[in-house]
Amino acid sequence: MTPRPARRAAERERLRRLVVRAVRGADGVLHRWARGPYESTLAITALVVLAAASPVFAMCAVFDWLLGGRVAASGESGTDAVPLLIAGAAIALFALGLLRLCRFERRITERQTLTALVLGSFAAVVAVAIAHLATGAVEPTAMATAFAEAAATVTGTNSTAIAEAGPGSGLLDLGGGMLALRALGQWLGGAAFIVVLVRVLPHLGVGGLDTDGGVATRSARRLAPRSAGTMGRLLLLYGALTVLVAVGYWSAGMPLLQSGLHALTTASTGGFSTQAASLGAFDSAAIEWVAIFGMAAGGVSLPLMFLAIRRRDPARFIRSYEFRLYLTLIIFATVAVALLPRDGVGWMHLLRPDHIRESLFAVVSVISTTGFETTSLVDLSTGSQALLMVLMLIGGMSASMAGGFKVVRLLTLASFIGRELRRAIYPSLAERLRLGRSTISETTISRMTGELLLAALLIIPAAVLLGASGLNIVDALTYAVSTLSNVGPAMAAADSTGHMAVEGSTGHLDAANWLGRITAGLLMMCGRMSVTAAAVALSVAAYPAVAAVRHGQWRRRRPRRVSVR
Amino acid sequence: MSDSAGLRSLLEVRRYESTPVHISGVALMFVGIGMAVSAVVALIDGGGGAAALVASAAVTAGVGSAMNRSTTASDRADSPLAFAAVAWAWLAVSLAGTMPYLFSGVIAWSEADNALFESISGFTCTGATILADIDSVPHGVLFFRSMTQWFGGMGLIVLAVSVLPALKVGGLELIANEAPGPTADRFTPRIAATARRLWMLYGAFTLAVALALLAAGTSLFDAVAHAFTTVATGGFSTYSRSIAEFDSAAVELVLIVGMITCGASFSIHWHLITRTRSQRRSYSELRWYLGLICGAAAALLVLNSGKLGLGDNIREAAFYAASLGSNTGYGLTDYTHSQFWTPSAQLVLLALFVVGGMTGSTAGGIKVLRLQIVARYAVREVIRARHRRAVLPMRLGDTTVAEDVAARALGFVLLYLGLALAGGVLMTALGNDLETGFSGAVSAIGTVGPALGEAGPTSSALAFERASRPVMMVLMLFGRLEVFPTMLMFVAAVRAGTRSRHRQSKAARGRRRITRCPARQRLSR
Repeated sequence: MTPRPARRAAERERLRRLVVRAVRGADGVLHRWARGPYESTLAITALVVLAAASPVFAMCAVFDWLLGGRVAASGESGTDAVPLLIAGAAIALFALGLLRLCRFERRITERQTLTALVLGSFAAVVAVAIAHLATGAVEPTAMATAFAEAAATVTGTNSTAIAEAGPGSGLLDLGGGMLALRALGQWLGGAAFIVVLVRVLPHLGVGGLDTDGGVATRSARRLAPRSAGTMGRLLLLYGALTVLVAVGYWSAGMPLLQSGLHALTTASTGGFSTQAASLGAFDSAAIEWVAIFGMAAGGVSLPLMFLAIRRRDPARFIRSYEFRLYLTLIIFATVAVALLPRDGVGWMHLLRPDHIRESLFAVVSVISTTGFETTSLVDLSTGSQALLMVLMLIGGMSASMAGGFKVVRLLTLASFIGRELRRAIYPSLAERLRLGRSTISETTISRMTGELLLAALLIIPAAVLLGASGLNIVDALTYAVSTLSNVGPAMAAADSTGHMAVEGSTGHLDAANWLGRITAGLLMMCGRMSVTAAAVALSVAAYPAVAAVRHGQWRRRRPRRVSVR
Repeated sequence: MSDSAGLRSLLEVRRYESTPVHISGVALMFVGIGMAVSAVVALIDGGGGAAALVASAAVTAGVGSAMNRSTTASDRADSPLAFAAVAWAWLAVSLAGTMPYLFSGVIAWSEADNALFESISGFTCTGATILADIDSVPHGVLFFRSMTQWFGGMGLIVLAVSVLPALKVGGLELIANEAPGPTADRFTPRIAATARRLWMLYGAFTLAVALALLAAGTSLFDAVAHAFTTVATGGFSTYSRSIAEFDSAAVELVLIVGMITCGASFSIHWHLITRTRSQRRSYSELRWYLGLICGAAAALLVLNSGKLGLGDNIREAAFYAASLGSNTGYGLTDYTHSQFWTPSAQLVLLALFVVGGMTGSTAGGIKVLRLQIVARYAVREVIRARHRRAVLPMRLGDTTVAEDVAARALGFVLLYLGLALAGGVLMTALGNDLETGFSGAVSAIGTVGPALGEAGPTSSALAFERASRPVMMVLMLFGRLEVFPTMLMFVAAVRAGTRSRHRQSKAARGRRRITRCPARQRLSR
């Protein structure tokens, strides 16, 4: 590494100290405040998240008051400001009040960390849901809708039941404050995910993402000696990417505020838009190219990007097996989507000059699990819809902002299958799996397989619930996949009942009843936190019941078999 | 004997060592006999098709005996060779099975691919049919069609109970020591002994189902034809409307019991009937299997409660849970019709497509045993996330599943799901809609027969685009032979090629004949 000028180093050191002091200060304040009788780390996590929501609410209220009219459908500023402020204050009071009753535990076990993660994200969802209810973004009685909208916000899924403000207005029926809160919520959700990724998951090894051929989180831990430093660097990169995308949008001709809001949801691969027709509303090739770049970057491993930029070594990308596969998938899928004949028009779409961009946009939007749209997915050929569904399942790179199963796991499991094929020929073959130069441990493989199998076991029951809530088969299955991967849009079946016209591709949530909305919300959260973490939290929550069955009177007595030899 | 020594030496052509061809020859000879029997049925029935069946029987038996006579089985029995033998034999009989359809004019020569589809669907016990109007087909050909499934099941039962477990395919070694017959013997005699017992059982079940169907009021022809396809969990019916044609609760009950029985492990049946001890684990699989079918039936009852009357609902739920839970694929009413069935009920059926019946049976799918392993594995990972250093052996019933066995089973499941997904993408890319394409792929690899969407139980496989049907044929062959043998069917040929090249080059250099091929040496290292 080249030596850096001393002046910049000193500045940076000062900044670092400032940040550290601020964090330590906040930590100290928290410790001093939370000295109640009840010792519970879980409660503290949830309450801190709730308390942290109120400044965000306040920011959005101020934004609404000052600039809300420029993005809102009604054209008025300040419609959401008062409800947001009140909701924020109420949440803060509630959270701080309860925090006073809690106390930190001396030791935190691993399963508590996981449960805290789940509980924290639930708290965030609750806060955002309250905001939706308070501002009237959803009906005050529609708790399930508020939950689903909030889950979509926190997990970065472009799935919404909020309709266009009026025929022809093109804007969503939301005030400026809520638009800002939703975009910021997706961005902050992404940021929180980086923290979890670097700080929590590697220690727990959930889902096997801590080993991936030395490109993602394992190397993330090597970016700096301490994980706090790594975290800071990754967040910095995330912020820089967001600013870059915002500038890109703005210079491509999008209004400034819109660019900001869209940049927040692009870099976080969230996908919310201020427009009812998503990015397609702008109808601008330049904006779409910026979005393609932004989404694709959001699907790339942050540590990989950081190292490549820091060391000025773009070849690092090419050296990464995962990035190569990611790129290959994008290129292959784009070609396939562009070339497959479409219903009704056959090959005629090839004559349009923009069909490559259109295909690339759809592919990148889906594989990075962003969910922006230009053309509705149902306008593509059925073959490409199937392909896009598989890409949804795969998702972006590990340690990126994207959801889904992650490319590196695909890579690992593919080599696992390959080994099993070889073992079918050589039954006593002993072979270690490799990814590049590093070997993959059996533990990692079993974690990855466990995650995949849990997801597979989850999808069909979830689809059954979604089907019971009013979606048809294709809608239910693809929507289950889409929400589990945090994408949002799904395919709709061309049905005689006119589903296609009604739903487009983000209207799935709209078409489902309360059962489907709750299912969708839970799926999004499972997808973001990894199914394993959700299952651990569930098992912790269900422990009293399990214990009752296991040790109580319902215990199934297993008759001992007496073997007579 | 001695007087024909000259003739014998004339006939004693050089025999090539090729196990796949040898075995395929045996299989073809069997199928030839089946065709001859069908010809007799056609003659008795008088509906035509006898000549076509006799001709195909002659060709099949002739080619089969020629293949069998001109080759010898290798005395080595390694996995690639066994895979190749099994897969090629299935392919050979499927090709031969096209002849009766083509010769009798049931399927036109210009649609020879359809005949191949029908034949593969028969021998893989799938039950997807491309015959739009089954009722007009001569009875002799229909009998043959049912018989293809019966033959397929006959071969399969031996494969599923003893051959594939012995080869440790996809974690099946768990059931290797449950096979009836001697277990400590050498491979080939052991299989022969097991096969005798299994075929006895298989025949007895066929007879029982046929008699029960007769008692329930079907004609003799229908009883036998449906018994063939029930015991093989195939699902071909002699009517376009499938079982709905009978409109008889008694027939449905017989078939429900028959399908559930034949979707369960034949080893367990053997042990239960002969009162020999079996391992407890196999009962745990049986419990899961029955639980799954009952659970599915209950779910269907609840989900369809708004659409169907109670009587119809119970009948349909029980029938379809049994039919699809054992991957047979008989149809009653058209569940794809949203007028009768809710979408979520259809999704329950999709889950049954994937899981299928028990190991050691003729049912397809990933099998209940592997679902058990998958569930235990997933739960274990959750526990492990909580308690990192926990040492958690995987238990099924009273047996412990070794890690490498679990890995094989998981490898199988992952490969299976991957193939189903890839097949679904291909099917939709070739022109089917999403629902039909994906469910068709899942149905084909699970050897079920009916799918969702346009290809329901009362419509034929013509609902799939013609270009996409070859994909289904490949998937059926994959799914039927537990994926690995079909995927690795060329390995033996490649190896034999390598070996002979090696031998030739050695011979050219005037060295001694080598006994070990390079691949074997690599293996032994």
